[in-house]
Formats: sequence, structure tokens, C-alpha cells
Amino acid sequence: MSLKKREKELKAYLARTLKAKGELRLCGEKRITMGQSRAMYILDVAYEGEEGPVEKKVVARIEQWGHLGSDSRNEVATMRALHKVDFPVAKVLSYETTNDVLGQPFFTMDFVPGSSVFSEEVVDEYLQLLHKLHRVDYKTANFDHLERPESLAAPARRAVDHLYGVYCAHVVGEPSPLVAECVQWLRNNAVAAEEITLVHGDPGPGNYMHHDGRIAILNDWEFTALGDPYDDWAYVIWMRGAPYLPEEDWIARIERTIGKPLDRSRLHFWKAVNILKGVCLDQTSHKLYVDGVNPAPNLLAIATAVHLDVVKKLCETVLEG
Amino acid sequence: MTLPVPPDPRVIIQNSIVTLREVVAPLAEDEWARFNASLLIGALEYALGGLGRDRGAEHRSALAAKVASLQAVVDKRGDKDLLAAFAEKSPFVAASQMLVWGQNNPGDTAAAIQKTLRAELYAQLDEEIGAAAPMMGAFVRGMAGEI
Repeated sequence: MSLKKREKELKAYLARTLKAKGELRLCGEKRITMGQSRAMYILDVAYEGEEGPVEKKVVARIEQWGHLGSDSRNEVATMRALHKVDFPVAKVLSYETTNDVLGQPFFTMDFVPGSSVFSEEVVDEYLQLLHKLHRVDYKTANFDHLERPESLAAPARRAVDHLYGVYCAHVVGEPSPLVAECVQWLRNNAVAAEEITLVHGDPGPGNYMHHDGRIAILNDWEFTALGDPYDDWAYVIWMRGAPYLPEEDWIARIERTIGKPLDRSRLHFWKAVNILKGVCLDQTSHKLYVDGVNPAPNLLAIATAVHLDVVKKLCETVLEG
Repeated sequence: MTLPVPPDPRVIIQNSIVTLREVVAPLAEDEWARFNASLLIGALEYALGGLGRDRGAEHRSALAAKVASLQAVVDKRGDKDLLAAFAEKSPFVAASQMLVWGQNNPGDTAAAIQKTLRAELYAQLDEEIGAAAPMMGAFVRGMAGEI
């Protein structure tokens, strides 16, 4: 999708959002390659503000027909709630829930300068912030939008059932017997959490920005839930963090951060759930692609090569591990 | 001009790959356009590899044969839920039911089911991963900003 076709509607929308006096000029748009669940654009805008001329960048994060099984509702509410408690997230400027402006719901947020390229310099600060997230008091009204697990056993069971539900709803042709078997193993071996906390759901390198050797913000809050913090630690170690540091290095850093040893069997369970997350959410690409909802070739890549690769990893972890 | 012998689809796809790689991709200055150009090359290579064979049908019939080969083992066990799998039209659904049953009923029967079905399904998975290699290469290169 190009924003060019919707430029008139977008300019009017941004003018209202930013309280521009008169016309707003859209001086540039750049789609970011990173991030497959949303189309992310950096927009250069210029307008007459309340205190004079303004030139700034804003970010538009646009839904992709339910790609990867999420919408913006929780994401926006979570970002706003975390912003209120001074957690480092970009400030949400607006949330458009209809398809009227860009053909899909989207939200806009402040542009925060920085880099998402991995840097070992900021790893420990990032882990401390993730630990801080797990310590945020979610029992305030700010987080009422998140479903509260009814027991310590609920997050694991709920995660597996939710993910497999997404998978089954997006199967094209035939289901994978290997996925079904792995899901049953996970159901039979679900672990109870020691505590319920806010969980980012997609943490690690690539989903935070750093600037001048400090973490600027944490990104991508679409999978945030109340759950087991081991969900996040496993994701950092084996999913987003795996290309950058060895497993034992991540574990040592995390243990230093939280001040106690990690329970390896719980960690292994959540590693498997996170691989299942890839398997199941990637399946949404397949259906959107073959139904012609979104013909973009990145969906074909995720539906085929990426999906098959994680199915193999799931089998290795669950059935052969 | 008529075309009594239309061009071979393989030639059309192969030449489209060359054109995308040598003409279109080098001119794509925008990061997102370059990413898509890379992926389209991978998609066409993936499609090219699938011409002339129906791998889906081959996988279906191979799995159906493996499911059928377990009839004696399942009959011997005599479990009603497990026997119900043979009533499924789809071998993929039947295999799913049998493997799920195996997770819930460990023992010799489960082990026999797992050994037979997993071997076939792993082979199919590996074949599909191999077939999708051009797509994976394009995705990885595209994410790294390369063509």
C-alpha cells in the first residue's frame, strides 16, 4: 500500500491531530522495512502551529488486515498507560479505529530518534527496563484493558490455546499434524507462573531504540498481556536475541538483572511457546496472501519459508528436545 | 503475428527474474521498493521450482499410505478414539488425531504411530523447506537491505 493514494485524507487527518492552523504539508514519507505485522511510515510534516511554524516527523503504524493476529486496541491502550507511568514508550498522538482515512485502522505517535541496530553497549540497560516493565503495577485502572489471568496456571494454557486458535482459523488447505502434536505436548506440560506481570510479548533486539548509548524507547506493544515474565525472557534469549549473543550469555545477564537464577524447565516451556507463536501467527500470512487480501510478497515469504523454518524448530524443541 | 506455440511459462518466469534482478531492482532507490523487488525475485524462483509437480498431492498420498500402514497396530490396541482417525477423509487430519492421541496415551502404540508418521512428515517438511529456500534467501537479504 502506498500512502500517495490517500494523501489528501491523511493530510487532513494529521492537520486535525496536530492542531495545524491551515494546511499541513506532507514533505516526505518513508516506509520502514522492519516490522511485518504493521506498515510503519515515518512522515515529515510542516504546518503552522499554535506557536509558529512547525516541522517534525511523526510515525504512522497501520494495521495489515489482522496480519500476525493482532490489532491496535491493546497496543495503543498499553502505550498510553505506560506513558502515564513514565515508562519509555513513544507518545501516542492519535488512534484512528476506522478504515476511512487509510483503508485500515492505524495510530500515530511521536518520532523518537535512535537506532534499533543491536549494540551490546545497551543490552543490560534494556534488560533492566524489561525487568522494570515486569514490576509495573498493572492493578491500576490504566491497565484495565488487559485480560487478567484467573490463576497462575492460566497464562501458559491461555497462550497455547490462543495461538492454536489463531492457527486453526487461518489454515489453508490442510492442518499440520506436527503442529497439532506439539500443541498437545504443550497443553500436557503447561507450567504455572510464579507471578503474574505485564509481559511485552515481543521483546528483544530490534524492538527498542537506543541513542547516544542509552535506551530511548521500547517498541511494538501489540502482543502485550498479563502473564508469566518467563514468556519475555525466553523470547529475548531464543527469538530476538539469538543472532546476537549466545544463550548462556543472555541467561547470565538476565539472572544478574533479576537477582536470582532462572528456572530452566520453565524457560524451556516458554521457549517452545514462543516458537509456537511464530508458527501460528505466521499462518495468518498464508491466508491473507492466498485470499488476495494482501498480495505483498513479504506475506508469501512469511507463509512459506519463515513458517516452515519455525515448524521445524518447534518439532526439534518439543518432540526431539 | 500468431503464436502457434506459446512461450513456455518457465521461460517467462525465468526471464522475469532476470529483468527484475538486472533492470528493476537496481533502479529501486526506496528501501521498501528494494525489499519488495528482492522478495519478488524469490517468489518467482519459488514458483519456478513448483512447476510440473504437484507436491501437495504427492505429500497427501504418501501420508495416506503411512496412516493406512498403521491399521494393524491401531486395531490391536482397539481404542475407539484412535480407530476414529481412519474415518477421516484427510490423511493430515487423521495423522493429527493419531499423534495427539499418542501424546495423551504414551506407550508402544503411541511410539509406533510417532515413528511412522513423524518420519514421513519430517521428510515432507524438509522437502518444503528446501523448495522455499529462494524465498527465505530473498527475505533474509531483503531484511538486511540487500538484493
